[in-house]
Amino acid sequence: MKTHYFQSRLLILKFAILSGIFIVLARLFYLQVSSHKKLTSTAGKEVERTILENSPRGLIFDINSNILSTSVKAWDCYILKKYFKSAKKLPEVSRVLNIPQNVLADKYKNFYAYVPIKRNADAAFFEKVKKLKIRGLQCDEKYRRHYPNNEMIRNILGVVNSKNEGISGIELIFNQLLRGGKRKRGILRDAHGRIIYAQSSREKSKPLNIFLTLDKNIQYFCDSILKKFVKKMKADMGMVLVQNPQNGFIYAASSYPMDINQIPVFQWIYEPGSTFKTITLSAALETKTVTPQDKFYCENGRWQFTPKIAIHDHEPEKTLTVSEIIEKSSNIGCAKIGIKLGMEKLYRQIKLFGFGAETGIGFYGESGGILKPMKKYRRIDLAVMSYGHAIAVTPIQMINAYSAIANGGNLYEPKIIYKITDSEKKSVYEARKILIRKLLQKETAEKVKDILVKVVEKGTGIKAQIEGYSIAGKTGTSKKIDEKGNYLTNINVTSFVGFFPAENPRYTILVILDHPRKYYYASETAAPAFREIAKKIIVLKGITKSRKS
Amino acid sequence: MARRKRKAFFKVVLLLAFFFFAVTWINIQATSMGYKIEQKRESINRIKGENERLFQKINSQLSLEKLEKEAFQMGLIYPEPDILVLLPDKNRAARRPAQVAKIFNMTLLKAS
Repeated sequence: MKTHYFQSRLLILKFAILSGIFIVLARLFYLQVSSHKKLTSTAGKEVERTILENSPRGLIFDINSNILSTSVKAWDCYILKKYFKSAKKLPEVSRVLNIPQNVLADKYKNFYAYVPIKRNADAAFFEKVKKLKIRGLQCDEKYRRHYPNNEMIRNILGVVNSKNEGISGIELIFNQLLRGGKRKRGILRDAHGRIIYAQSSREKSKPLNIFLTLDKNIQYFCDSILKKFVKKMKADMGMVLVQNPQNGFIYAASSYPMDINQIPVFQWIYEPGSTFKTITLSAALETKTVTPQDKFYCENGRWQFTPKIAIHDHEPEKTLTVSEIIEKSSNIGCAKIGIKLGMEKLYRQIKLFGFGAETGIGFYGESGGILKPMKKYRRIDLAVMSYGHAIAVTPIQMINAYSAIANGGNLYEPKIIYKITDSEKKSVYEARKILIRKLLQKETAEKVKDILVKVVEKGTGIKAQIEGYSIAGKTGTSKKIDEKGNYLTNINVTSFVGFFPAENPRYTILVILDHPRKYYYASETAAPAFREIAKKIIVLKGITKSRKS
Repeated sequence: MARRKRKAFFKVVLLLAFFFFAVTWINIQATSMGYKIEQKRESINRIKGENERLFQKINSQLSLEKLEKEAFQMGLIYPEPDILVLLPDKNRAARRPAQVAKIFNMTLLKAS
């Protein structure tokens, strides 16, 4: 009897447990099988997300791998009123984030749903916001561009907009390479919004890094010396270019005052003045029209070219050799050389040197200068063009031409991009020197070089001398022209272009000062600036003294 | 017979229960692992960010303007080219035996 009672109770218990299990199983079946599709879809909307992430932009380096431009994390912090709900927490927010309470309160009152607190906040600010753990107070992570050298070559590096896209300079030209791709990641969140799982999808294209030919140290010296001379000479503006004549690499491109939207060394046009006499000389020697010893009568400083036009020298001279004409920078002497050479030969040589056309350095807005078609020039234009008037050039054209003379007569394409690498530092592109054309025979280039050395030793370029070093160069002083080629009254442009060491040139330097007021001539303004820059480069690069100085 | 059948039934139910328990436990472990992986990822990102900030700090400390200012404060000046002393080149030691031989009018024997 007792056993039967016990067994029936056991049976009831078993039945109860089984029923419970059965109910659970039935419910599981309903959730996992019958309603599977519907519930998966609902849950997916709540917990599954795809987020878009931007990778940082590629880096820009100088030729020695010093960083010129990099990307750093920044945060845009804001309040979403929908989740923040009440203004009671504002005092705590303002205290922790160090924002004046009235400013924050005003913003909260005036903005409808989204209240910006700080843009481009740094990591310390972001950590403070995170620690507050206030719902509705959020930060969006992004990357912003950072230039560790402040304003150095900012016009060449360029600028990016708020979407991190390049809008000028290198940042614009190489935007596709620097930008890389957007990265998509699928994520699962829990009810508190924490990420449970995140995929890492591959980026379609990783950003590349760009190495420029610019040398940060040379650039720094050029910037500081140029600034000093522009202020000292009370000039409106100054420019410096430094180039390697053996391969066309640009080591420095400086302008002061700097306008971030312009690159004057590629865009500005000016009449070269006496620095152009070297081009006339090269043409005359190359075509064997003259030799360095040929003599010309320089009319005692005034040559009545036509009844209405007279050509003047700044110092009266009588008879000078071709070499002396360049040393003393005689306009009359050079005009006579030009006339003997003829328009066709001179014009041809001018075009061969690359004047009248863009150099192809790759920057937007590069000018080709002003060189009219040959048939539009008259005899007087031939005479004045011989000593650097009736033509407008850009600084990059001028330095490229002198580099060609320095290296023995080879015109190379100027380069500013040294190489491009991927994130694993593997080279994707490397610059090599590109010969545009052979301009001069080596003997001609040597003769021109010897004359330019004399210009610095005993001519108008004396203030560019550095003891113990052989320097070749030429001064130039001309009237300033506007964009249309019209002369501006009483405003001049002075320049000095040279290279050293003359026996094995490694650096060509061009200095231009726009409207210096303290002194008139380039021998007093641009030549001393050249000397200072050259001295810095000599010490920086450890250049030994010339055997004959 | 009935008892055997009941025993078999209980075994199946137990087996099923064990199976469901195992599946649930594995899911929980996967979720927990997911949280840990994501925490590690955040930690890596934080360290990378810290690394970038330190790198930036180093760059700004080494900026040429700052170095120049500090050098001037210490009384340093830019050297002139005429006081430049260049150290002997790397190949000088290798050239020395030939130079010595020339001075003493001797023949330099090449190493075999």
